[in-house]
Amino acid sequence: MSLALDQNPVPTPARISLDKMFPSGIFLGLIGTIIMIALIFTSHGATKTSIAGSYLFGWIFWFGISLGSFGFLTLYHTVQGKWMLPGLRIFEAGGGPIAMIVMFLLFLPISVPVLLHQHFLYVWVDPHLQATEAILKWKAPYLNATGWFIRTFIWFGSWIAISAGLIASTKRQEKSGSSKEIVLRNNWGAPALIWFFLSATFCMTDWVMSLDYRWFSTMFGLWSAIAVGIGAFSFATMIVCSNMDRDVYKNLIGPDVTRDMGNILFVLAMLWAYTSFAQFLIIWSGNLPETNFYYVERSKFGWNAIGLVTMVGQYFIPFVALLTPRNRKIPKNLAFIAGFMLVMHLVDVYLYVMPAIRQNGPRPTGWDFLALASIGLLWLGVVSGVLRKTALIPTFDTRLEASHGH
Amino acid sequence: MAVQEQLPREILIGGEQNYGSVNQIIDKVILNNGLHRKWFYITLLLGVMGTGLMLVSIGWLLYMGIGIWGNQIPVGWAWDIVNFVWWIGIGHAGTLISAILLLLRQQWRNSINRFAEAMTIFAVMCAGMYPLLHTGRPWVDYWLFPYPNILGLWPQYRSPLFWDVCAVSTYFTVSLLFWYMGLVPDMASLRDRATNKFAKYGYAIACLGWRGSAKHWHRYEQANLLLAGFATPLVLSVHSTVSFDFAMSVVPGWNPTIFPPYFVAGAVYGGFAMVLNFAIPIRKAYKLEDLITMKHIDWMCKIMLATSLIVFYGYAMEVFFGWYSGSKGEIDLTVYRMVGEYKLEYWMLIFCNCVAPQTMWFPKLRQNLWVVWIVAAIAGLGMWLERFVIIPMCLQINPLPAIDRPYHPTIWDIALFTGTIGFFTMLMMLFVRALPTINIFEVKDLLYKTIRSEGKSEIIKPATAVGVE
Repeated sequence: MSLALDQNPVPTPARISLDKMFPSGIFLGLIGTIIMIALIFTSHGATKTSIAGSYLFGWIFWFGISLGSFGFLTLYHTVQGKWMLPGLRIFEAGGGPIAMIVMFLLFLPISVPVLLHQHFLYVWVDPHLQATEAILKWKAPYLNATGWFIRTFIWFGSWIAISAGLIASTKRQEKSGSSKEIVLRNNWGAPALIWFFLSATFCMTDWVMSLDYRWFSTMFGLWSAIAVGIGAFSFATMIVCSNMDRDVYKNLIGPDVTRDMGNILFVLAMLWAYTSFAQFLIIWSGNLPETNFYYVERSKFGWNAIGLVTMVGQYFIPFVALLTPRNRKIPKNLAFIAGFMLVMHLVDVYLYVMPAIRQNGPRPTGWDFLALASIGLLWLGVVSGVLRKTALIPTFDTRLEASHGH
Repeated sequence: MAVQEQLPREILIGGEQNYGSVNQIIDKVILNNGLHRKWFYITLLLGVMGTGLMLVSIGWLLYMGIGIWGNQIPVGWAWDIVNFVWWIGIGHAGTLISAILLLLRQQWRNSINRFAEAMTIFAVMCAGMYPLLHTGRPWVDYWLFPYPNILGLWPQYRSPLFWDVCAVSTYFTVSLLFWYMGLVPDMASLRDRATNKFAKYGYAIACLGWRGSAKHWHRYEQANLLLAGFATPLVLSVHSTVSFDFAMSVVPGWNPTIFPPYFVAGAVYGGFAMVLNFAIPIRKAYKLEDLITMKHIDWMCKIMLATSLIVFYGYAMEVFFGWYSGSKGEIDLTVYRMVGEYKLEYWMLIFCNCVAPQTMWFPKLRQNLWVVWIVAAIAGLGMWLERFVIIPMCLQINPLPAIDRPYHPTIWDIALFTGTIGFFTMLMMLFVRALPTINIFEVKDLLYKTIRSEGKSEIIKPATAVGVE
């Protein structure tokens, strides 16, 4: 079976609302980010820790969308699900080499101080603590500043190389039309997907779990991979469904595809609840001093209210909303649900990052909002810039066109 | 204009088929007595002998008590619970294929779902036997259920063991209903085609008056979808609950937080392996190659590979976080597994579940039925070893230095396990003999969709076009 397509899919300007983020998002985001970085390095003591914590929180949230996009990119090339086609270009842009390089550069204000043993955020890099704490001595072969920094390079290097390779292959196929490229990507997709899970596990162990060096959980890696998946898929669904009346999507994406996208969000919400609850239940019932403090900290000073919000907002509301076929069929409804899930994901990130930094309860500061907004604007600007150069619906996979009579 | 090549369509039904030929291929296994060769009767006989061994083992157990098993202190849970978890896991592939793949609209499930569902029922029967016998006084096992009684005795609702009773009994009920309901239209078809009077009456009673009217089909579709909706969370929750039997304790090695998803993945891995172990010889013996195609085998192999990788991930996390935890109990256990007295079992487990399935990466090996069958058999062994490594091995390494007797199973542990394998085999053979191993009407539905998508509607002929032997 073969279909003839336009060989040169030149995009028209401002096809979707996200296009407007370029280049203004980059300029505004850059200004905010520079202010945040300057504040981190000019402040001292608890203020420095608090501002750096805000920066880390904002970075983890937007980086999570990039990492989740990378995960869906590898998943698409492994299983080639039609349901991923509307969001594929967004995954390529969000999890692609340019976005990853930007996220790597934005992480330098956090990672370089670790290498220099500045312990305002990750207390375990304090040489005095490393010399006196028995648990840190034990973990030193893995949890050491140099190793942590080298691993950061490895994670980003691998994501950039893999996503660049997969995207280059799709571009080659768009030019040549050869199905050999599909087979090639299919062969590399599965190992890349395995690498996504492994790298997500260990990078989140390094960057988030080690904020409290005493804590550990075997579920944390899988849980993080699902969480970043929610971030990426809800972002892509929100963008696609809220622009459904635009020419670029209007005649290509029908209720069959939006229903599938809604189903994936539904499954992700269920998986998040499943892994979160299982981890909580096992730690709560074991009540062992090695692990229970993680939830004890999150049950005090108002953190429990945030936990309740994620329970209701990240699971119960999406569960009920997405169980209704009508909501999965009507793009505006689905866009709203996806947007809501993205906001709840943000609250969830706040809950698993911030209690290690601010033990006295969830008291969001202006720095939290500035970090989130500036890194976000920068990220959105970059993704928008990448998306503008490409056709929003992939032309190498013709199933959407075929199923809608084009 | 660039021409975008697409990969060829997947072929799920081989040969030139029509409704009549589909009926003929599946029905002949039941209606044609001459088709069953010597191997069928030998396998059935082995199954019957195994069942006999199982009954003798249970009889002796009831007479003597569970002291005839190798269970001791501290290894209070041993082969009985290992076998319980193993058998429950075997059943999961059936529910995955019939419910989850139905919800995902995966048409390739149609040729293998009936077979896998039967496996689920029989495997859960074998599994349920173990905890019931392990109570020591199985004649009062009804105490496990919450019911008003003059003793004022209630189960401990906070115990995962009680959750297990609820989960497994619900799972068995839903699986049985799902299986039986799917059989109704096919049994009606057999009723209409059987020439033997007893068979005709038997199928007539079993098919509950099915006439194939539009109303019947409408109700069937609704009920099928509802049961699939129930079964999907059930299949995940049952094995998660089984994992909680261990994870809710504080025994080192029993409470990693990854246990629930890793148990579910392991169950699907072992279950798919068992489906392959039975499907490959039966497909060959009854010439079902056109309906259980190499594409089906290929996809089952891929699922086996994917789930083995999840299990592998679980083992890796156990080892890494066992070390990273810095907890003495976890570190000792991790080292004990690798170099302790059961190290052979541990490394065999790694070979069976992590190394051997990697062969399934290669399409040529997935097309070689001998390789697939052997890898599937290794996977079954690996999943049994996994439960052995988790259950007795974690209990064996105990904080009390006075307790140093190694655990060994007795002849009765082995006899009962062998017996349940025989019982399972006997039930599978009887199932193959008496009921359609492949879902007739779903394959016809698939055939209709395939033919329609290819625009060859003239091939669709009524079932009466091809007669019965």
